[in-house]
Amino acid sequence: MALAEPHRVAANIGRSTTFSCPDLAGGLSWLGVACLPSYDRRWRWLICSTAALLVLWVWSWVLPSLGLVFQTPSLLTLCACLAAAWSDVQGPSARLFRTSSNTRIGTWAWLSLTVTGWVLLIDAVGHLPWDVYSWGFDPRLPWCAWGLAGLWMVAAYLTGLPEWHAKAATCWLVATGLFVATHAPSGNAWDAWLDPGLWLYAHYQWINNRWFQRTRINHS
Amino acid sequence: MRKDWLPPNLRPVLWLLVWLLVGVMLWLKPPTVNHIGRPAAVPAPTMTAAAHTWVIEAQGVITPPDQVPAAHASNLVALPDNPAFSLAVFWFAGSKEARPDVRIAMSLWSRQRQAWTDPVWVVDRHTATAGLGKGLLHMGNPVAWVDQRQRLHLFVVGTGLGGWAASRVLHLRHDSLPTASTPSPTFEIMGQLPLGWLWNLSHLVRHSPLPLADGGMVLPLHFELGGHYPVFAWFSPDGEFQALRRITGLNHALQPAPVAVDGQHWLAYLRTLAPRDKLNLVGTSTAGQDWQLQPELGLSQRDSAVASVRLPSGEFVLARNPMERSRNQLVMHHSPDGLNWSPALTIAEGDTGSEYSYPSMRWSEDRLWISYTHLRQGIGWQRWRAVPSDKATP
Repeated sequence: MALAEPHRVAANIGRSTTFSCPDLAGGLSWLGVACLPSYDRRWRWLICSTAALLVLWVWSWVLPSLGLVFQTPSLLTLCACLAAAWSDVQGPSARLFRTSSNTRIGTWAWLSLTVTGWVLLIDAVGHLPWDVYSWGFDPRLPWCAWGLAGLWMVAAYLTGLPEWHAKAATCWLVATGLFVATHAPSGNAWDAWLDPGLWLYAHYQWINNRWFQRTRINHS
Repeated sequence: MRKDWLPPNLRPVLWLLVWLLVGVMLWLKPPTVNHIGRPAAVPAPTMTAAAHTWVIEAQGVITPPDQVPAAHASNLVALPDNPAFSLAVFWFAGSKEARPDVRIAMSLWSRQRQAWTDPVWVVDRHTATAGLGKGLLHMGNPVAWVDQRQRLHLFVVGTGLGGWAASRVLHLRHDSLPTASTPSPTFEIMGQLPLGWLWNLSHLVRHSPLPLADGGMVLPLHFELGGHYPVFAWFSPDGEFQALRRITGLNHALQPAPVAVDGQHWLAYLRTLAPRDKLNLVGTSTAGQDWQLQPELGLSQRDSAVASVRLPSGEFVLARNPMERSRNQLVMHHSPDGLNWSPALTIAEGDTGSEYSYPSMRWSEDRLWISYTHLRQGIGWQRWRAVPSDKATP
């Protein structure tokens, strides 16, 4: 029970920070790094982050007038962005997410996120016979995620699956760990793993990957 | 070529360590508790259930602060341990419903003066925006509750882009009860209630909570984007959100008004939309874990709020607008079991086009208190008393 108080504090922080400047600054920085060419990625991150913060400072009075539009991104989105940024700083590629086929997140991973989002959406409007979103408050769900992530990593290691499997499983596991520690953003595990923004992005990536595969097959 | 920060052969070890760390964190978590299923608080009998008649003892209308023209959706909360005030009533008021100038108003029933205090504004969208960290366009439907530590909680519908159908439920808290010296509470924004995956969209609150035996409560809510279905949220005795149960198999039913028959057996009356024309009812015999649609009640109703309360005598009371009179007549019924209701007793009525709606009921000082929307201009209130049938005046 020693963790009860920190849990409550973190849960309250998670609930109250439904949208924050760091979220948007991170997003703007990511977009800047993805779009702007530069010779040194570290300087590119610094310049884009500074520009994003300046934009937020100038426009901070505009954002509230949009009214409850922005929500907290999921912890999985956060982990994925950090992993992408880290990969961008470390890796040899010229642009963010323009990675080799070995590290490109596989089609079925994006499809899983897409399908999960659709299930949650249909559940939200009350057209499923089960109460899927409420399962996210059940403490057994993070245990399931922990087990599945472990199996995924073992399978990736033993069967020599492409590198992205281990990265994706690690992101999911870290997001689950952060959720267990903080209960952010809402105390519901689904909100920690998938937000509507990531879900929409998964659609794009799934279609993009399908197109990429088809193009590659046609040219080979 | 940049050198890897971790040699590839050590990566599996790192993964294993992360996996074990998360496992330890899960293991150290507090033990699993099923928050849903806790018994409801059933009122301890303090008056006899002998044959009695209800007589109106006092009534009036509370006008909003600053004489703003519109007022709607009041909610009463009893303050049994407060020496200065026995009741508080909250409602929203402004130039018109869903306008940016709408604020949450409050008035208190003074034990000493036996009158409502001058109404004051307690929350507006600007203070809520500042506390929440993001913008609100409109506010409405306040619902109040007092927790085990005598802190006053307020649940308010807040909208952004999209109006009522895109609204969320905000949770506010004042860390003490109003006193004679500080009658106007200053609410702290606790955040939004996590009620749905799709940006929390389209959840609203209206009826008073169902108290639980351990001091917690179940807050009735509903979802209304596309379809309408009831939702129940569980709170700890300290007012911490704990769990959620949604009755998604039901459509055209909203604003549940729950009452406890006993600890495990609860009923919730539902406002219905066309084509339904009777008051709907859902019930649970497992303290909220499983809900079933019950046979329709023989009470007509369509698209107007209902209110229910269980009295210390064990009697159930329900207030509604009969469908035949739209919202220009507000009536109440009494029942020994929550299923079989007495003939209607008129609370308020007027000409076609007038409105007496959105009732709220509380038991306080051995009296039944009712508040309701009065012509959309103020909040009507009444105090009813049960008198033995042989002593009732005709």
